[in-house]
Amino acid sequence: MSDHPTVPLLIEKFGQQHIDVREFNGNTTVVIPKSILVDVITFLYNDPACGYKQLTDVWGVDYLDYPEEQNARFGVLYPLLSIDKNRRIIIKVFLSEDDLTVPTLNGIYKGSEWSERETAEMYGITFEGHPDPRRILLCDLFEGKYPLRKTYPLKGQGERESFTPITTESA
Amino acid sequence: MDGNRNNLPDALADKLPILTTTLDTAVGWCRKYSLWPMPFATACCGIEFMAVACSRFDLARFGAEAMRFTPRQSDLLFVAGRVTVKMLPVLQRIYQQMCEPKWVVSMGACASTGGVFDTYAVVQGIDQYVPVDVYIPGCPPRPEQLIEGLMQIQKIAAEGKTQSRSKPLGVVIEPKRTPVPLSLKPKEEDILKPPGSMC
Ligand code: SF4
Repeated sequence: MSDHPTVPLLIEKFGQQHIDVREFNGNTTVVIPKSILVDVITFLYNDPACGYKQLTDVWGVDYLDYPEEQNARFGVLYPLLSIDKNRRIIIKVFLSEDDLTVPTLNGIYKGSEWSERETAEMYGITFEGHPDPRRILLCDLFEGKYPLRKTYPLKGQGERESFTPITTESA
Repeated sequence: MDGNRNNLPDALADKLPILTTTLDTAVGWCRKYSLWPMPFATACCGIEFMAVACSRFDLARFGAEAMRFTPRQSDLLFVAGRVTVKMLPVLQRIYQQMCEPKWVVSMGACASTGGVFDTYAVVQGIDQYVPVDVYIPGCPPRPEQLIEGLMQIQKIAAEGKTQSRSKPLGVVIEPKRTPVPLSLKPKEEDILKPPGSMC
């Protein structure tokens, strides 16, 4: 069991059955069901004993062909930082392929906006309630393609070969 | 400059401080020492390019120190670093906006071939989409190689071909220095000290 001081608070509030704690390399990851994501994050933000006022990143993981059994194919991770307590915790939700939606955290952390847009574009995960769900990084050639999925070919689907060359005369 | 005193009558040639030449040669000679590079530095090679432009290697010795960050004022495009599919249209646009006559140097493994970045996002060699005159291999290339690349461009510029060329030059600068195997590492006293400590 983890000796992270926030974990008992989460278990007390949300119940043992919803909180799955994993320790690796000194990082504590708490896997929770998607349905209580916003509640958990709101609690971690507001509770004076937690005080996780900063969301450092949002990213997705594709667990296709992962050596260890996982709850579902996709994971979304939210590493949080408490500056007051000098503590970090990672919240993780699993998404199965048939329901790739997760609620946005934009109501709690304004800074989640761009990270969520990036995760959405790279993995095709929809962040419900996002104020500005446009694509963010990739060019238009990648419309509807999700290059960080394991099923996407590393060398692309011909995007990098699809331009018109210019020659010394045509320039 | 290929001055041609011989066309003058002998008497004049010896006495007058005159040198005759063709206009093309004169223009080419001027161009050679006033290349205005546009650094298209998208990755680590750009750092090496900055070093070449700074005092230690000093591109100013070749008259190419006037970096322009607008293509409309430059005639030599240095592509230093990897070019992504998102950046490629920008590169093409910049090339099109440069003044004639213009040259392109593809610096480093990434710009020339995509390097180790064989992925969906990186163009595998800019010469597929823009004409490249000089390729400089290396990761990053040594400043000496860059200077040699510039000297190749100078050579062409000096030929005074004012018409736009129909074909890129396709010159490859080869590294001159063979890497020393680790077992043959030089002794401490053999290592060249930086110029500063010599004087
Ligand atoms: S060739 Fe090497 S130094 Fe140059 S951009 Fe590529 S990785 Fe960086």
